[in-house]
Amino acid sequence: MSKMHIQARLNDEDIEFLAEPRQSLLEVLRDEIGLTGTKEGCNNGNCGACSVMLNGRVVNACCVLAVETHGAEVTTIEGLAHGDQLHPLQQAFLEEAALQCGICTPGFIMSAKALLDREPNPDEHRVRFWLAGNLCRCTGYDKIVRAVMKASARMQEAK
Amino acid sequence: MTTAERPTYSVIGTRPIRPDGVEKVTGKAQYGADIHLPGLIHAKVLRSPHAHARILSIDTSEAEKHPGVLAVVTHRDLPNAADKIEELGESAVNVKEVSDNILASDKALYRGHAIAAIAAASPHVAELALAKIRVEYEVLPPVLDVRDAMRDDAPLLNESRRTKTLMTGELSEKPSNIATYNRFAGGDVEAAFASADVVIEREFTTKMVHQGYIEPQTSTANWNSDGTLTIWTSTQGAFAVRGLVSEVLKLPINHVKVVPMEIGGGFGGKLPIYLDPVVALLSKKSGRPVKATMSRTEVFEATGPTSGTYIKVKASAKGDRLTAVQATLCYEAGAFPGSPVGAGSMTMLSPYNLENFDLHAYDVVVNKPKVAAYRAPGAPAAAFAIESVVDELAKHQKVDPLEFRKVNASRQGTRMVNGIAFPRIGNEEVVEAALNSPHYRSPIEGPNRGRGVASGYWFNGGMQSSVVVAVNTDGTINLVEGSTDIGGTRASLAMQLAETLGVPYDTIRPSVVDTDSIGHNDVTGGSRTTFASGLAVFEAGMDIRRQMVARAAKLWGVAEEDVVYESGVLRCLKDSTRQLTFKEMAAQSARTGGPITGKASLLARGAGGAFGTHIVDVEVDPDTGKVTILRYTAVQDVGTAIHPSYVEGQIQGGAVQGIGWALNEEYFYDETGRLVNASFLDYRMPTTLDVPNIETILVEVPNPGHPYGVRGVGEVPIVPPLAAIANAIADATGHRFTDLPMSPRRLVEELNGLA
Amino acid sequence: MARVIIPATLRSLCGGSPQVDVEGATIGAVLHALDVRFPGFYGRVVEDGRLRPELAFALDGEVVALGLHDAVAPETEIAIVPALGGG
Repeated sequence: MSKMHIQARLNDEDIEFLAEPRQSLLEVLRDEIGLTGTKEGCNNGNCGACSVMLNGRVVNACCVLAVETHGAEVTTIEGLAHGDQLHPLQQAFLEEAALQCGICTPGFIMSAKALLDREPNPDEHRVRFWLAGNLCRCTGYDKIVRAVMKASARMQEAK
Repeated sequence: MTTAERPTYSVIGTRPIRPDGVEKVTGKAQYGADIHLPGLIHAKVLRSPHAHARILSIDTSEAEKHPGVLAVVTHRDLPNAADKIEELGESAVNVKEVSDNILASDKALYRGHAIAAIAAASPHVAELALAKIRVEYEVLPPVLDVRDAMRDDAPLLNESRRTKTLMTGELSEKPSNIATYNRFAGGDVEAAFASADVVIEREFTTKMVHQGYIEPQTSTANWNSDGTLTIWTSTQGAFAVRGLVSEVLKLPINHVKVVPMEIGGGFGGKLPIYLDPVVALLSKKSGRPVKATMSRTEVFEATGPTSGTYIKVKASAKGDRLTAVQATLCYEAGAFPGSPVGAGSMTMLSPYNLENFDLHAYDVVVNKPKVAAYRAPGAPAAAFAIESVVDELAKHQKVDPLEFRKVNASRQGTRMVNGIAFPRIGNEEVVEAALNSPHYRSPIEGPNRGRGVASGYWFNGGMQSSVVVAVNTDGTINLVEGSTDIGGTRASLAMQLAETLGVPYDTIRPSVVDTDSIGHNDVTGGSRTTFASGLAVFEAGMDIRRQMVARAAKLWGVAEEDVVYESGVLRCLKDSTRQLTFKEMAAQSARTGGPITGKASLLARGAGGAFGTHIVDVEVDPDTGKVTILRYTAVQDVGTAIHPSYVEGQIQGGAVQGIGWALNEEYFYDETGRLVNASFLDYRMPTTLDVPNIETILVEVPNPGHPYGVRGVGEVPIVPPLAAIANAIADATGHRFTDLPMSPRRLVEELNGLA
Repeated sequence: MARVIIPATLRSLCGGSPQVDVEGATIGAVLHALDVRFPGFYGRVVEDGRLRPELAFALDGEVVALGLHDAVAPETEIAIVPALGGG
């Protein structure tokens, strides 16, 4: 299977890579580009651990072919912090102890960011609805939801 | 140091940010599958499509010739394992059974059982080449239910297995799928039944369920030219992996180095090894580092879920007293013996002060994956049974179910069914706190709504830990430890060290290191790490204090008894102007005798068991069978909450796993032994929408066996939810469900008489 | 005197008693003393010179990894229980 040459924008930087048509974006991010912050939990769109932003929408990277990102804009967890400036969601997750093993955390943060980007002031039910596509087995979700609400409040205040 | 009352702590009880937190929220932390090595190749495993079959032949010749394939292994590549038990990790293992589970030898014992493995330049090539391996099977009838497996005419997984009576060692005459039988008995149950006000008898079943960790198993191995082996893996215990791998591959222990990567959940499921010897052998054969990561389907089919069970309970009450319990517990072990029926039978009556009991426990093999530990293994199913019956007894005797538990509560000195007397425990305090909780005092109103309560107990482990604490000349500290950090133990250990030394928490940098770099550490599991590694950290800290006292005494020309170390400061008793802070002493280490390093390597004694009582309000939709959790409160004795956020997190996580187990999760097999729902879509774990906030009430009854009163907290919370929810549904609908899960379909069927 | 709590399935070997008091300075000595009174007891629980791996000792209420050579204080209570692990 011969590889295709893909050009895209990844975390605000221009990027080029080679990918076989059968390779998912998840596989290419992790194994070709070397960004392992996006995690594989199920490889069939059921756990959300591989959530990334594609042209401003949150998607499961395991369900996107890498070649589909040609000319597109991709944001992964590695693109959120700026130097030592954490995104409010990252900071809130730390303060609220919203992670235990941390494997689902990048996916949750990306999904939550997608929500807060489009709806700055969601109530708890809206947060739970939006995040139902991300599975966590360690926390029981309580502190994750609190962290998202806290980040949302802080982002509102900052405006 | 005893901790009868709660002292005032400086660091313990606060909520600092965990040391590994920034790496984890920025995606930089390296989990097992994130490892990249030069020349890395990828492995895939061929698995049995049959639940029960004799393996007549395996022909790998075509696969070996497939372009891009660099190595192929089967059971023939494993050294011959003796059929005996070795003590490794947390429990004893039969090395032949471990070896046979890793790569099947003469029989495939479950669908998904590993048969062979291929390493190739890309995982896609490896997967394609699997199809070229030719395996000849003689398919045999599978046995898939624990009661079916116990019948005299059941197909046998192992024709030479006899039933062992656990304590006497006696073996049955005929072969059987029942691997072991044990009995606990005390008092006179028949007399108690005869004189009781009420006797209730119920049968319960639970299905096989999975721990559901989001990160699949993964292992990467590099077999070096000098015959040493390095393994990077996702595990709850690097030393357990090292021990098992060295045993299975017959290597000297120090030839194996295991690097524990960050782990994406375990809950007991990452105590056994599956991939490590396979990638090691592939690396040896190919001369390249080899990585294998399981797919989600493989995780479901071929790792270690927990037992499905059949439990029969007969219990009696007189007045407000529980007077006798007779029970039979039958647990599925999966393909090889070793279900947690022992722990189930030993914990189920722990909340109660009961003299009359008779428990029969059976460990039974079936054609399903070999079970592994799942958070308080064995206890949840047994608690489901007994706590449901206790609920019925209390209701029959018109006693509030929590009052019933209070009247019958076990306490210090009460004997467990195995004869062991409880030390200081927090059972009564927990029940009392539940009775007084805002949740329990609030009314529950509305149609189809109900409230249920249940209690549970878990032992909590001690075992071995080793740490080294190095004091740097600027007063900062490196804490070197070997306990995989699954849920915040870097923080809880750093906090205990900070408390011991009287220094700020953020001057301590903890590292979880590989097996070459620290003394032996037993696994992160069994709710032991904050307790036992905490004890080691305390000892190492005290070691440093003693060294500093000696050096200060020398500097001041006084006797050591005239120097005290208090809250991070060394003071001279004879001269109050003379004092040194920790940092000042550290700065002088080279001049006062050399580096200041504290260490401890210990077998921890004094672990304290813990109790939980849960309260749940539900609403049942009679048309769809959906059960909505309206409110959930988990009360637990936590000893001393070192970092309350992570203690709360353990309780919330365990409770939600219990909710999933009670309402939706099950392994659904067809009659050929194929797991039909091997994906997260159909193996339905709770999402954010399925649960409310989980209220936690932390009761602190310090464990006298630990300097800071620590009790293990991680496992107890999964024990009460199954029965609490069943009791709530019974309250809401008037119908008692005795089979799990209480899924919407089951509710609709049973409530409408359609079953 | 050590007090040994006899597991249910071993009681018939011990004349039905749920607990037995014997002298012994080490665990091995205690088990041998039991064997003298109730022949066959030792061989039931000891194999290859150690407690069978599927069993464990509890001393005064605590399950600890112990060997036959380990000392037993006077008035210690010893239980033999199934070995188990957590998760």
